[in-house]
This record gives sequence, C-alpha cells and structure tokens, in this order.
Amino acid sequence: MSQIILLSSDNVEMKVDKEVAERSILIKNMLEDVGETPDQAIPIPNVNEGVLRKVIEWCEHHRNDPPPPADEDSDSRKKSTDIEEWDQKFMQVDQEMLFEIILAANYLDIKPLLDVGCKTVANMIKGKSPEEIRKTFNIQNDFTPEEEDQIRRENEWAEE
Amino acid sequence: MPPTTINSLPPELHSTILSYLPFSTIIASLRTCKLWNSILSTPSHISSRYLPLSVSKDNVDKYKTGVKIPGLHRLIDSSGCLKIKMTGEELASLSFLDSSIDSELLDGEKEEAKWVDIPSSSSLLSDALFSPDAIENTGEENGFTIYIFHPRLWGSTPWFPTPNVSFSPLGNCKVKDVIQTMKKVFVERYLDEDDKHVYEIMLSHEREDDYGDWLVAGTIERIEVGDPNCASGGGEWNTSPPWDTTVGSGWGDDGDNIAWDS
Repeated sequence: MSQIILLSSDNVEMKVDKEVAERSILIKNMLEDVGETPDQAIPIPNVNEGVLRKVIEWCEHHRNDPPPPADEDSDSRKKSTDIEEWDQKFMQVDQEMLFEIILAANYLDIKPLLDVGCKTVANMIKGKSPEEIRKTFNIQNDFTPEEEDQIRRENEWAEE
Repeated sequence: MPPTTINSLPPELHSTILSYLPFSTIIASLRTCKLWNSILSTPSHISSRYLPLSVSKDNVDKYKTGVKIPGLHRLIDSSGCLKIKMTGEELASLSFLDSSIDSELLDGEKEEAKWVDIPSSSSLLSDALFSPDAIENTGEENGFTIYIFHPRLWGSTPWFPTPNVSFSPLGNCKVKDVIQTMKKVFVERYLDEDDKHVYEIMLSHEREDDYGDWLVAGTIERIEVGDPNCASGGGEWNTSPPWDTTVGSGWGDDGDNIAWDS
C-alpha cells in the first residue's frame, strides 16, 4: 500500500497510508493534481502535530466508511445529534483540542469529522441557559443591557 | 498564541453548530451573544431549520399519511394559512394551503386542489406552530387576532388580551392546542346547541412589534359559514363572517372579558 508523508505545522513528519490521508478532500485533490504519489512530505501548515495525529487517528478508524452522499444539502441533512460510540469517545478531549480538531477538519475538508465535532459542541450547548453557555465556552456577553432586555422580552414566552 | 476556543471558529462553523440545536436551546442561544443572535436570525439559518423538503406534489402524499417532515412552520409560512373546518363542535378537517403546488398546472378546482389535508393522526399536530423567527409582519388583516398565553398561564387567565399582561406567540403552542382553543371559543361564544353549520376558519399569522413587550401571534383571517352538506365543496360558502369582524382585536378592552377555564 502506498504511503505518503504529512508535515505538521511544527515540522513533524508523519507517515500515513494514502487511503487514510485521502479522507481529507484537500489532500485527495492535491494528490490527484500531482498525479503520482509524492516522495516529499506534504506540508499541512495549519495543523500542529498533536492535532494532526488525532485527525489521522480518526481517518484510520473511518478509512473504510462509504463516502458521504454527494448531494447533501442542508434541507435533507439529518439534523440528529446522535454520534456513534467510537466517535463519542474520540471526542472526549479538552475544549482546546475539540476546537482544534474542528478547525483542522474544516481546513482539511473532512466533512464527517467536522460534523461529529459540531454535533459534539451542539450537545454541550443543549439545555443550557445563556449564562451557562457563555461560561462553558468563555463567550463574551456583548449585548448592551437594553439589547439584552429586548431579546429577553421577545423570548419570554419560551422560558420556563 | 492564545488557546483555541469557540471564539476561534469562523462564523460559518458557528452556524453549522447552531444548526444542530433543538428549538428550546435556540432561544437561549439567541440570547448568548451578538454573533449567535445574528446567525440564528438569518433567513438561510431559519430555512435550513424549518424548511421542509420542498413541497412538491410527490411528497404531498407523505403529509397525507402523516409522515413527519420537519417544518409545519414552513408549510404554514409559505402560504400563511392553516385552514380549520368545523362542523358544529366537531373538527371536520385541517389543511394548509400549499403554495408550492403550481396552480397553473391545475384547471378548474385549482384553489381547492392546493389545500392539503393534515390527518388528525398526524404527528405534525404535535409540532410547535410557529417559531418566532418564522413570524413575519404581514400587515393589517381583517378579522380578529388570537392571542395565546404561555401554557403556565392557561386556565387561570382570560384568553383575550389586556394590554398589561405579557403574551406568548404561538411559537410554543402545539397545533392541536390551538385547534382545541379555537373550538372552545367557538363552542362557548358562537354556537347554539343545535348549530350544525360548517365553519371554515383561516388562520394566518403576523408579528406585531409595536407593542413592545408582547408579540401578537395568529390572526384569524377569514371565517366562513356554510351548509354542512357541502362541507367538502368550495364555492358555496357564505362569505360573510357570522359576526361583525370590525370588532377587531378590541375584545379585551370592551369589558367582554371572559375567563376560559381549561
């Protein structure tokens, strides 16, 4: 099986099966453009070693997954936040790593991994109050008191 | 380099994350920060959440069989109309105007053909009726306005409004609750015991921001009375409502305020 070398942003080389690396549409397209398996390391400038290892781990596990349906527009997209067990365990990381993985999946164009990441975050938001959400994710409350009051009143009916 | 947080994500990823949230958490998210508030207020986000697969003739059958396709909001949104037909106290039929059925393709009974029945067993009836996002200001309507309270106020508060109470839009009311409530009003207010007329009630919706601390939800657009023998036919309705619609929404102000027990 042919292998390629990926080079993380902090200059660590990683050997992976071509098939695994091609879970990334970015890398897949790059390899197709080159035409043959390159000898040189492919730089992944936005992703550091720790995150890249994690992403490769995911790609290894999902190497035989069928490709996602081509025409997956937002209407037909399944909005369930169910996550398969292996992925749930995989995503049990600290928040920094979680968001690093999401950014890497976005950059490398690995849609299923991006979805798992986003669902994981959505599950962390579910059922929380605005204040709890802000606290969980360290989000600044940037509403003026007047704006906050207005939104609160508009949505009062939905509060328990 | 600062640690990566949710704030490091580009807006489109925030949008993806928020698209997975259930309705209940969307309200909290609207109040979390300006970025989320603006994302959740964009039409594309609202549509991705509430638009059903486009309602073509092909999947009208799915509605008829009660298959749950997300977006009853949108069904009613696109046409602005939910039609409730009642014979006396009985709910005769419930349908929505499917504006996506191309009326050009249909001759003759085209208006009638655009109404799609929602079976009483349909799970759509348990959907929340409108999301606040989906409520648009459609301007002045004839007829009077329905106000629905938050469920916790039900049963103890007059159904019709007084200005100093805060109101709930239909957003958290299930379709069947609205029908239930409308039946109540009709039976108690308008129906004689032997009244077997068919009432056709058109429910549309609007948002009214001028009042500051409350939102108006649904508006009965038109109520028609017909002979029960032609309940399924069109064209034979008496187009005059059974009362003077100019009463408008002033019902709560004229002392005619009746507490509706649940």
